[in-house]
Amino acid sequence: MSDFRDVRPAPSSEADGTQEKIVGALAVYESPDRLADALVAVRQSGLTRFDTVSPYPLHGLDHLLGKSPSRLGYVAAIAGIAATAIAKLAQWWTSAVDYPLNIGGSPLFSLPAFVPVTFELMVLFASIATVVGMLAVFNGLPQYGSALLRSRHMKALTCNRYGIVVDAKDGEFDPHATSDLLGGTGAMSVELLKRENVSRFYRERILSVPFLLLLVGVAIFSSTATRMVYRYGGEIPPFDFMKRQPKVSAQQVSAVFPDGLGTRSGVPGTVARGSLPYAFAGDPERAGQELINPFKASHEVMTRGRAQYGVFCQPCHGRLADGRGTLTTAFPKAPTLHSRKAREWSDGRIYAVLTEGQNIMPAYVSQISGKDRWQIIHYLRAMQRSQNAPERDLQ
Amino acid sequence: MSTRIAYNFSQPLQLPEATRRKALWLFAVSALFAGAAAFSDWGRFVAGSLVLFLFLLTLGLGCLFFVTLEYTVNANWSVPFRRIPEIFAILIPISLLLAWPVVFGIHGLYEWSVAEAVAHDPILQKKEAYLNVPFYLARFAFFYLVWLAGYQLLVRSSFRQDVTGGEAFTKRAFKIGPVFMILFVVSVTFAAFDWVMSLVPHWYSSIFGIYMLVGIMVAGIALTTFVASVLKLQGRLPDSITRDHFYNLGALLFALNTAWAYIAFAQFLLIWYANLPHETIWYQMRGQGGWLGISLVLVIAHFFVPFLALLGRESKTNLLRLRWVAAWVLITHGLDLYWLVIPSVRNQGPAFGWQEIAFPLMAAAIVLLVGVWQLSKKPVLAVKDPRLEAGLHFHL
Repeated sequence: MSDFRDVRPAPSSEADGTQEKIVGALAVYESPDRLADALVAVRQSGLTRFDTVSPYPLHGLDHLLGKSPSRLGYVAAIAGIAATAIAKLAQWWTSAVDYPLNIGGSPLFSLPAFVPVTFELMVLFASIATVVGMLAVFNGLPQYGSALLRSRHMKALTCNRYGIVVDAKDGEFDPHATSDLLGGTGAMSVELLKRENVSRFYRERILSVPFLLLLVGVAIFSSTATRMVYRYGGEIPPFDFMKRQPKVSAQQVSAVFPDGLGTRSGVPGTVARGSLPYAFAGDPERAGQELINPFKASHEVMTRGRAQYGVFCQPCHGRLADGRGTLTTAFPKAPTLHSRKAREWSDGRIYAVLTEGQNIMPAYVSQISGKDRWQIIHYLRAMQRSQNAPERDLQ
Repeated sequence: MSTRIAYNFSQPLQLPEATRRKALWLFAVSALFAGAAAFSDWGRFVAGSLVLFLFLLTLGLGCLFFVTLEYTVNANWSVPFRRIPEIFAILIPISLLLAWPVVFGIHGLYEWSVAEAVAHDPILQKKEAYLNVPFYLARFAFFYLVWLAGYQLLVRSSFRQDVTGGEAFTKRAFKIGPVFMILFVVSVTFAAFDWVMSLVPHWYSSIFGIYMLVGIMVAGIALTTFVASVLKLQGRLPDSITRDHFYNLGALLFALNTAWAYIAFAQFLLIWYANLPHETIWYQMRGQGGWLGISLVLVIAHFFVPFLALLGRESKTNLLRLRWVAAWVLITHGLDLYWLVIPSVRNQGPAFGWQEIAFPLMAAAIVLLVGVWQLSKKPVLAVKDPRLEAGLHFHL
């Protein structure tokens, strides 16, 4: 029906006052056989621009219409070839060049592995291009309307009647002669299709307040629905897929053990791999007396201690351990480590603070390994000495 | 459509006597070659005979499938063509004469049938419940029972309808068709496992039955298309069989050939990806030495060539082209079977000498003889089928 798309009158027609113009003729038939017979007659009359309307596809009409084969296949072919190239290039670039990905030792550019994606993308591109191409290029959609759609026969033509439409642009078209011709082919009814002044009508419909309100309503509804689904949808079974699992989380009661504790402690008399028990819990003074730093000061120890101090201690205690860290505005002020108390503490006493925490300072036993705690203390000693150098160091 | 012959299509075709003579000569020459090959290298001859048997059997099964498909989906357009697959379905009973390698030659072909081999192989011992000679022979009998029953109920009865007429057979065939389709698929799957897959008894692929099934469908459609195109070009089919009918045949050939490639690739991709030694061994056999070349030729000749040749709309109605594409697909189907069987049986590179020339010649001679013999006995249309009229009036 592409020949009928231009239903908006040209500006000149309003100027010269004509509100109606004949754009074609419609003949309505009772059965597909009558339609087929009539098509032969219409073709023999020398008309060339005509098409049929039927409620369902009628087999065998193509050759009666004398249409050349559709070129839609080329659209699908070009889209398919383009998709093949894009898929191959994209997979080559992502898996072999930009982020080389070793999968099971197969080559980075593996043709067999890339075939499924290429195939799916080809099907996707080709089918979308075919549908869009059919509607947009070959059917001339979208369009505002068609003179045919306002025919009083249109309802019957979508149900149990069959029609032939002759375009007025046909060189052989003449309103009276063509009507007579169609009438003589066994048509139940012949109607001249007229173009009305429809542009204002459609402009008003598209920009009308109810329509715009509808758009706003759809936007609000869909965004609210999306928000609700993302916010609450995951809590509703069965969409809470992996949120609920038959396992015991930390601090949860367990029905398996008689004492009801979900979190289990180690078997008595055993030590977990890689951990050493701390024998001085709750007694930092004794730790200060009995623990000895196992490391000797060396370049490696200092470097490691400095790096770990920078990560864990510096934010509060400051780069020079003077209590002027970067977090001091948000947190309670950490004390300087150059105080007499801190300087006179043994390594073991400081180790106890790092292990168990003190006042507002948390325990770092789970974050800094024992070895690193001792090395941090070495670095701290160096800083303390640098800020409190005795007379002999300056000589 | 160059020659116009006025035919009464309710009578068998008058075929030139020369064609039959040529076919007989061809058969005689191929039989001579086969005899010489048997004396020269028995193992090679048995392997070739297995391929010949599978080729003719799959042609017959493909034709029977096409007939069954028509009744299963109630297709009208294919009724005018149906006589062609019907007459070539006789290759199924004929293939019984060629089935000797899988019955009498099992100890030479199938390692699992040799008691000493099984005794030293724990995997074969586990598979013995299925892969043992008595059960294997019982399955052989079951497969042929199913296929011959289908041949009798769907094909022979259709020949009888030419004389008796009436709707009774057609109505019954609509009931038999879907049931037989299920039995057909199951029997073909297990026949493929038995006769081809168990040539390498450690290897297995669950998609193998479907691979053979799609190959069978392609072979059946290709043979029907080839014979129909030739007869139409000679003017031996009625004018009411039009381009639209051939378009459907061409489209079906195109679709099924693509399905073959899809299944073949699916099998390859999974084995390639998993990369397990007991699975890749089968492709390893086909990727070494000269076999790599054959494998690549198979991919190009069986998939890409027919795919590109049939892609355009016009090419499916151009009978000259359709005829050659169908013949090409038949040849590549034979190559496919050769590729499936020979590397598993003979532990060496591909060889095609005078010892093998007998088999393609004999296959061509038998197909030609069956066609000439049957077409001069039966009408080329199922003349009393109540749906023939609707089929002849088919339009796209």
